[in-house]
Amino acid sequence: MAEYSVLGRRLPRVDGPVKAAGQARFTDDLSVPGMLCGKILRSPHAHAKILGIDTSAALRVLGVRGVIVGTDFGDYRYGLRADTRDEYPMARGKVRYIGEEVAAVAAVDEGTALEALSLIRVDYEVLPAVTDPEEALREGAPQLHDDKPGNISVHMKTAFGDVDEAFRQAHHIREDHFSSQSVLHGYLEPNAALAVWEAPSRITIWASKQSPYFLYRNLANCFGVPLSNVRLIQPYIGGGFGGKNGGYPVDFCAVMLSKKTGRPVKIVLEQEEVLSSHRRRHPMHVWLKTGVRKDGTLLAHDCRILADGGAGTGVGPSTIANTLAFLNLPYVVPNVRFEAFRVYTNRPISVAQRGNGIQQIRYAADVQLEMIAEDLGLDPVEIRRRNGVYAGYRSANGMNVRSCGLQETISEAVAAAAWEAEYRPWREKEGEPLPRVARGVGLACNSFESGARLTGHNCCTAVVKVHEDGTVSLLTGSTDAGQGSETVLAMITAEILGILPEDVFVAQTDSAVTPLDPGSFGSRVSSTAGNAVKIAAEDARDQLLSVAAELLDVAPEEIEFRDRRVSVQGFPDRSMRLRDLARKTVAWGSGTTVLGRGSWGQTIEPKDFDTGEGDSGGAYSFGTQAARVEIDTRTGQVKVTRMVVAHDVGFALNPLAVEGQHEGSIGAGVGHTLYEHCVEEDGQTLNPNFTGYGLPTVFDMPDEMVSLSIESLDPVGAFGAKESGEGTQVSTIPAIVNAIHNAVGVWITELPVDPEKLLKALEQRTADPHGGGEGRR
Amino acid sequence: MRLGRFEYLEPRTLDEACTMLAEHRTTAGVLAGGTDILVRMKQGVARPQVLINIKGVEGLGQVRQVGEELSIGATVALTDLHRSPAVREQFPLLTQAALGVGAAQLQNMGTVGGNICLEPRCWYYQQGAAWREGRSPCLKLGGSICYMAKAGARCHALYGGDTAAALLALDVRVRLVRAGGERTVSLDRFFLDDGRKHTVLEPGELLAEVIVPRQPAGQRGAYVKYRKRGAIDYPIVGVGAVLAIDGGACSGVRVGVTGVGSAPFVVHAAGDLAVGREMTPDLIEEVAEAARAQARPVSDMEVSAPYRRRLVQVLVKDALDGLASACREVGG
Repeated sequence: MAEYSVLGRRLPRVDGPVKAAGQARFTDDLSVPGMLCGKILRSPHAHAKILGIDTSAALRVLGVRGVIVGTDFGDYRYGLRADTRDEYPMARGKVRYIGEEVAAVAAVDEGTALEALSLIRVDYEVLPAVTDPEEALREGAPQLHDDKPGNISVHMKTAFGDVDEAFRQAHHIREDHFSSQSVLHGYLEPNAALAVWEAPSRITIWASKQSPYFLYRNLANCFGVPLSNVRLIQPYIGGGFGGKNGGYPVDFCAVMLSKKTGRPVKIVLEQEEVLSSHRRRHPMHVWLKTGVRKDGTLLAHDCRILADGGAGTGVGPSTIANTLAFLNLPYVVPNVRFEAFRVYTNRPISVAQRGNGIQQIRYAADVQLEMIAEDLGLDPVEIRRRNGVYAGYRSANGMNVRSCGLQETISEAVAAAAWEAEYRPWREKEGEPLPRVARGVGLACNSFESGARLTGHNCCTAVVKVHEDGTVSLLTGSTDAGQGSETVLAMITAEILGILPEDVFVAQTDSAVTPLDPGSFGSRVSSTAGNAVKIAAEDARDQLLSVAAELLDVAPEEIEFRDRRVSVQGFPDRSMRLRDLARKTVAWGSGTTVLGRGSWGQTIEPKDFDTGEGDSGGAYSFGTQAARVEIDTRTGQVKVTRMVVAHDVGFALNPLAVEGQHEGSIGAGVGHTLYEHCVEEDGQTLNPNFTGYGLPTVFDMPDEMVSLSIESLDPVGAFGAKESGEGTQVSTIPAIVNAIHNAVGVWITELPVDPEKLLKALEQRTADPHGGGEGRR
Repeated sequence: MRLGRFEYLEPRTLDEACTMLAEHRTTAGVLAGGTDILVRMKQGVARPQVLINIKGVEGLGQVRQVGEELSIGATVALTDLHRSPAVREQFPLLTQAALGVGAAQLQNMGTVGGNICLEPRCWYYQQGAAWREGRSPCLKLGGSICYMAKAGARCHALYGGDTAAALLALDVRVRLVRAGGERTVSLDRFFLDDGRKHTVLEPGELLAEVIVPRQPAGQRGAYVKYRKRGAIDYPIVGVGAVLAIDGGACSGVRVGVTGVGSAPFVVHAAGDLAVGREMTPDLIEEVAEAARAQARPVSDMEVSAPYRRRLVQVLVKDALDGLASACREVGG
């Protein structure tokens, strides 16, 4: 492996000190002279016609500067693709979920804005609502969108290979149903925007966005202004996890209120608004039929998906495409049939969330694989080894695996978990009485995309500006929503230029200044933007190199950049400080400016989103997790006591950051598996607060966490790096569920694993020891 | 969410506080740590016109030994309660209960009086005004329906004070003061099983002090709590228990249960069942079963009624199992 001076080191985050000291400025910390406070009125109904909105009393309140409603935005609608534009900045004609934006007020202070909201009279005609996706598909169900009959938001039906023939050849076939619940992103900074409209047509907006360039386009379209007039400045972000990708009503409303009042307007949502009605993960039903040979070799999947999309489409097509894609990895499955319905319901809109569409399918498929191993008396390690993909593999749907450390992750996870010593198959324990505290271990594997490939713009660009003292400014359009990419991109720049990460200033995104970028989604920044930064830094270095070669009187290829110096290889005394070189370069000839530029588009074709054929990302990571659980068999309460993560990250650019990502993924995965759940009644969320919702606390994290990186050096990702922040969340769920089965012999096929639910399953098993599982054999 | 408009008063003495309370009676709210009332005010479910901050009232903020009894002032912060050497030595179950409340930040602000008087809550009642707009008001807010049990005619909001279970086990008294008078009642008689009005406190009256009587020598106590997460959550069930064993037989047992209904309760049958008998596993099962039978929860969004009752049984058994072995270890 190449020897690096900066990369591969455990470096703390460059944004750590300001965040720890409370000096990092988030959108709500910002203030502009003359700024007004904006507040949003939301629908109390899950489905209702808006017959009229009377804002006159609100406008009469002293201190109110403006009120807007849906019609202020004309017919503007937005969405991921031209055929999925079904969201309005504010409700038009009817409301489709509780909490949908109906009106907004800008006033001199918050109290005045709230008073005005209370005076807005909305005349509703309440309509029947549908909040369950199966009911939404039934004939006669309430319809959400006139132009989307049958409440179908996305439908995908596709097949690869000869599925029927594969099932005919199968020795063993299982069919199981799995479902996963509605969960929140759980970011601590609520969505927020501060907008300034300057007549005649200039927008400046500070907004909490992990992918700011979506909103930049949205605003240009919505307000009919050129893109050069949309300046979106990205302050620090208090977490996104997929919930801050696109433009949302809060952003459109801030701009429209500013346009209407002629004053800057800031809207910061209440956490209660976020938790009760903002975007969420897709709840999903998975019906999975799988056929295997006698030795456990997978022959075919036949999969049906019903995803609850809520009232809009959002990025739904990409979610469904991901669900199909990762039915094809990390195991070899030669024949795959897939049909998915993403359905509208009168619920908050489902969008991407860390693991977008992949958790749900890998939970089903990896738990079912464990069931198959149990059915056939096969070893859980062996069945995963047998089916694992390898470098050079091309999946049935045409995904190309260019690097793969899956087998190593299995070996390392199994070793670190002392698997041989700790694992006893359930069938050996089945006859024994359940102890008061039952212990079990479980395995699961994952794969994830590094750099999701969408259609349209997919290229990352970076500019490296060398200051005359040898320090550097890095401009990219990539956003650090907390994942640590600012640190990693600074490290890449420093590596190439032979400087230290603290010599690199990483500019936050500013659409008027920084280059266009797809956004921080699909684990793309380190691996994809990282390549652009590398190229830009190399470009800057080459510009310096031409001057250095003359000054040192050697050929450029003999010169190396290291420790803030430029030296001739093998002649350490023939060297100069980088700052001296930088200053001389600036003054070279009639003066020059060193600006390195790098762009990196993905080297893969976009997949066919209708058939699901093709690569979903530039590279694929792989991983194996081993969970250990303790279950109180009298209460059903589960505690994860250990989680081992072995993850093929390609190359660990910063091992400390990788560990942080693994631990965050474990936390979110533990929450999704055991605790988190939006409890809803008639479309209303009953627990829209952090008291009732159930984000895991530090006490709920595994007592012991082991994070192991396997380095397979991907040929595509920057310096061989692949993702480290999403794959681990994917396999946390099946690892825990499999461990629960190993401990007490029941399969939990419906998330979350609530203690009472687990206890019921235990009682059923005791009553009917051989009735477990819903599978047909 | 914002607080509505209110007048703010800061009495310095108990008399002053009582005069203010008498003056404002039904329109007054009492503030000490603020962890309960400020949240309810922001949600618009509590709307006091006058907020009387008793945190600065002299004499309410100490833990004091008074003869054989321990006096705990109403405004003693939960952190100070669990750090109090007197409490740690004599009533470790109270330490455990205070440590069980929410999280460290809430323990720093929340007070003993506030935790005892904690307003019963449910996921329909305890929501912001915008959230509640789509529903007619519940019983607790002056409406005519309890969303937790729609067929019934009472409010089933759940009481979740941790310390109450431990204090009930210790058979404490509370001193209630008002302008021109005071009364002392057993904590057992302080609570009412009604989500709308869960204590006997009358308008104008203030809980000023908790008096913990001297406990029998050799008695052991424990507080055990079931919640889904390791912190933050209110008890789904909390059990405080004390047990004394003399000459191989139980000489005293008292069990308090919280989190199960609109008021915490004492397991009435425990003493009759156990006193004078050896604390065998079967006897402990009997007491646990009596506790289960006495619990009358309704199903809520977190757990069903049968599951909650089962938890009562499991926790009472766990608490008494532990206490019985602890008593035996000291040769009781």
